[in-house]
Amino acid sequence: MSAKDQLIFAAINEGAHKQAQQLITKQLKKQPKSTYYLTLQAYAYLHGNKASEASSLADKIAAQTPSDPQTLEMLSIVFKSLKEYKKAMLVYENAAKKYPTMALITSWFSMNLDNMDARGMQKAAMYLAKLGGAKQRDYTCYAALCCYMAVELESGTTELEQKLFPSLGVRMMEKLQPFQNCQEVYIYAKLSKAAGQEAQLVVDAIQTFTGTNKLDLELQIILLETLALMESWKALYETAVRILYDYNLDDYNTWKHLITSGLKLDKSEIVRDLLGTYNGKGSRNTLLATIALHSELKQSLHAPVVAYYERFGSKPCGYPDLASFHADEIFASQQFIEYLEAQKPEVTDIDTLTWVVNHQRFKLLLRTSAFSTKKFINENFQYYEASKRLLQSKEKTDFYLGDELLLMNCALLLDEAEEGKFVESAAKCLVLLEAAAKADHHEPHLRIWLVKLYSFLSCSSLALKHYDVMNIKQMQLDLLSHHLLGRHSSTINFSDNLMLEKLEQLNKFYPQTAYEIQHFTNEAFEKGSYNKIVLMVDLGNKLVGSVNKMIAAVESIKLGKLLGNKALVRAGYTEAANIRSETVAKSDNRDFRTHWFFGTNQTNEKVRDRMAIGPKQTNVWCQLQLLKELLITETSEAKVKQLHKEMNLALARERASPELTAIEKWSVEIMVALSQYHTSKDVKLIDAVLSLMESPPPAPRGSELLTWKAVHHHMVVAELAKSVQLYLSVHSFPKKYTKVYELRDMCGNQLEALRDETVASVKQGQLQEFMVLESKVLDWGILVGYDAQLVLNGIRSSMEANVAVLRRI
Amino acid sequence: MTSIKPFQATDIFELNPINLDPLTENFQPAFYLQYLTEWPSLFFKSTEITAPAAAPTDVCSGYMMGKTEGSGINWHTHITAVTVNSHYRRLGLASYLCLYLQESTSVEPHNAYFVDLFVRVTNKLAINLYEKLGYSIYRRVVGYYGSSYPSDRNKLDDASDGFDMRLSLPRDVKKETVRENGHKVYVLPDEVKF
Ligand SMILES: CC(C)(COP(=O)(O)OP(=O)(O)OC[C@H]1O[C@@H](n2cnc3c(N)ncnc32)[C@H](O)[C@@H]1OP(=O)(O)O)[C@@H](O)C(=O)NCCC(=O)NCCS
Repeated sequence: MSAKDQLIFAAINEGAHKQAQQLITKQLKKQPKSTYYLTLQAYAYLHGNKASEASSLADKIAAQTPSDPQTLEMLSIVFKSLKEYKKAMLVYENAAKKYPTMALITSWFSMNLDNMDARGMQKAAMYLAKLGGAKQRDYTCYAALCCYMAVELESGTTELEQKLFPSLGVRMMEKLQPFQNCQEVYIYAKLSKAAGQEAQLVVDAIQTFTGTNKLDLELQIILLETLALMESWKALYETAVRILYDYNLDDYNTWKHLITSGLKLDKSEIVRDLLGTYNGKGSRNTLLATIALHSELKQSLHAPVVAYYERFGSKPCGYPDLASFHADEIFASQQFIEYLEAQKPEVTDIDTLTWVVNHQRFKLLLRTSAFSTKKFINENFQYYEASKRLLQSKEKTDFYLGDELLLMNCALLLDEAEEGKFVESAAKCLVLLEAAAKADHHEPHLRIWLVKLYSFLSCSSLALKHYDVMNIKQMQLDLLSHHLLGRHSSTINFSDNLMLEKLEQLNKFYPQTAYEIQHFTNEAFEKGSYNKIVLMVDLGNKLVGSVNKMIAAVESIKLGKLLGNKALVRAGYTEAANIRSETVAKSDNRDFRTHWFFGTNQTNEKVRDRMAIGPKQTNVWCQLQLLKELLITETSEAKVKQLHKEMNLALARERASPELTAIEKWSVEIMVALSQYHTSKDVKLIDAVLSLMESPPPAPRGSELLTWKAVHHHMVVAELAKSVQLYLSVHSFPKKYTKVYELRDMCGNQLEALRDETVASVKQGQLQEFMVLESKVLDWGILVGYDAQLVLNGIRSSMEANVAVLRRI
Repeated sequence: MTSIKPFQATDIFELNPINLDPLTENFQPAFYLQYLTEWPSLFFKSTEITAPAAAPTDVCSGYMMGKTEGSGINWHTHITAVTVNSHYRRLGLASYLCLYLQESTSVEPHNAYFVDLFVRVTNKLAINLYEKLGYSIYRRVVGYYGSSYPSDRNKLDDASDGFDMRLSLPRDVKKETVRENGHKVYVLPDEVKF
């Protein structure tokens, strides 16, 4: 970039709009035909809040079909900023049609790659393949792979293209035969299957390429799948034998293929024999495959199940391995439970402890008629106590299965808690979990449960303490931070800087990772690692549309407003376009499963819902919250109309599947009615606003005062009152609309009341509830040798901190 | 029921049960992507079918990140990370992943002379694992895991030193890439770069 251009960009970025325009005009005088400087002018308009000027200038430039890469890049940035994504891409496409030079096409390809746009990449790659040059073979692979990717990721392809692209790709790859490496074979195999070609062609391609060499793992899997699909049983059997014996690869997937093909070929006895004698006495895989064989033959599973269990019952995998067969109707549950009862060992070491925990897991899964929850919980406590000493001899970082005994108890206690006693059960569970975590510092399931339960009880600093032990970072931020940050701008002690840091960490993670994915996807093309590209692009798209990212953006806006932190608000609004856009595929990557990997490994939905911080937030919640924010300050009538349109759509989705808490819904409705009143001046609407304001949903009472609900309710009410005040200061109403003044007074009164009476009554109510809770929970620590008072103290001080926050709001 | 499969970028979403382990490094996405890009066949995972069977799903039980580098007799396979989900430990899974890497890189197109890895001198568990697989200590890298660069190769510190362990492959016919008493050979981190 020239020094002059640098000056222009600096002026634009610093907000010196006039200066920027002057500098650009100067350049345009020298080079009146320069589409580049014209584009810069559009870019400067955009930054100077002159979107419509930017838009019409950009359209004018585009109509001239510019072709230099610099202009194209800039112009497409302008269109993208104007949310004109299609136009941004057309800029390149039109230029490519007229002037298909290598420089132009490669920059078009990179642009699409940066956008993780598979369909766009396909278009550009077709041109690359046509231009060819020194990289002809590579570019053919690019184009063929992109044909497959556009179909596989369904990214903006038409029905016709879905049919056409695979055949197009196959034809391109056929021209490259004989294939030079397994990556080329991979692309061909994938396309050939997608095009519905004869499967034998894939088999031939893989076999011709591999010859007598060892199969590449990716091709090995494709070959087995293809042979199974073709019902080519003899070849499947022989290939499986080759992998299992010649390669000596004990692979369960391959054993399954051996069983399927063996049975078709009437070789069940030979298969049974192979399974029993593999590498001497068989392996975990062959013992499990023997159960699968019995299942296929509809023979009793008991004998092979016991044979497996004799060897692996004292390994943590004993339960998950076998439980995957339990739904099979010939799994003899009763007989198996009796077998387990008869074998039950004394707990003396890790192996016997593991055996016993597996036993408990099966009891919970199979729940035979003799099962009693109370008895089960007591047994778990006894086993935990009896094995506790083993914790002392293990390395601090070693895994300890005994913690599952307490986790199973927690889930049961929360499941069975009577209505109104859930808080008590949650506090009791916290005592158990704190005890377990103290003895086993690094166990992550315990920590996630502690984070969730403390958040439920509105103890944000305690939740944070446990969250930090897990050292959550990088991709885990997208997957796990929701446990801590769900609805946090309205439920936590928002002045806690540590919480704020978590949000800032998220806001940095997403753009950084998007950049990394772009970079390495490009590298993967360059290096010909084609079999990794489709899912790299998928990963990129899943992060662009990440629900967690959008929630973080909305929370940044809300929290930034509360704290007067402009940078945070800005960071939130950067994502706003994505949240509003209907076309962006929303991807929920959040991990709701890992903390349920204990006991039966199943999610207990009742418990999940009971301890949730409100209904699950996805993009509907994000859209409603964002639109509400935009309505507060938007004054352009046209834009408000557009916002109303979007709001109505989002509200319809909300009605179909609610994501707002009652009080959030109330707050959104008020904002919508108020802004509709401003545009229509229909008195019915201001009456509706006033009556909604007067009767918010009931505030939490009783033991709910000790949960997140209390803080949330009052924070949302306060935030709404402030938002209405802001709305009324930004939007003018003629004097005769007197009810508006009534509304303004009402907000003032509401905020005042919150700081005085409401806080006082919350405080008093909480104290009463806390006393009751204390009397119920205090003894609970005895069960696990932990001082329950510590947990109670934590709850109490969080309670006090939360009241102080409400008072300050 | 272990199957072995190539690792893919979106598998990063499935790593929580493994990477929440305190001894397993949870890398920046770029690091995983770099391995996928540069050594696509040397990054693979083991998967299990998990209970309950109502909807049997694959879970990732472990993974191996490997690479090849060096030149001449130093052309070798490197184990960057091997880790196993705690519910699937002591079943031989880590050994299985190591063996698979070793076998796939001892032939064409890799054809390496040896496999090597670094391990903390205090990670007895992992050292045991590798010794059982035939690895031996080649040298002690002083300060390999330390936060500042060591100045003296004779100043040993268990908290920050690592062992460079090696296994020679069939191509190394004369076993030139391994040695006895390697634990007595001390080097600085710069000396183990390829
Ligand atoms: C180290 C680790 C990969 C081992 O995985 P694994 O699948 O359990 O290992 P294997 O079953 O193949 O073990 C092979 C041998 O290693 C040794 N070993 C493994 N785990 C051990 C343990 N907890 N205690 C003692 N020895 C152990 C044993 O000699 C074992 O053979 P044996 O079971 O016949 O006695 C696993 O514990 C792990 O993921 N740890 C965290 C990450 C890590 O430390 N990685 C290594 C960094 S270099």
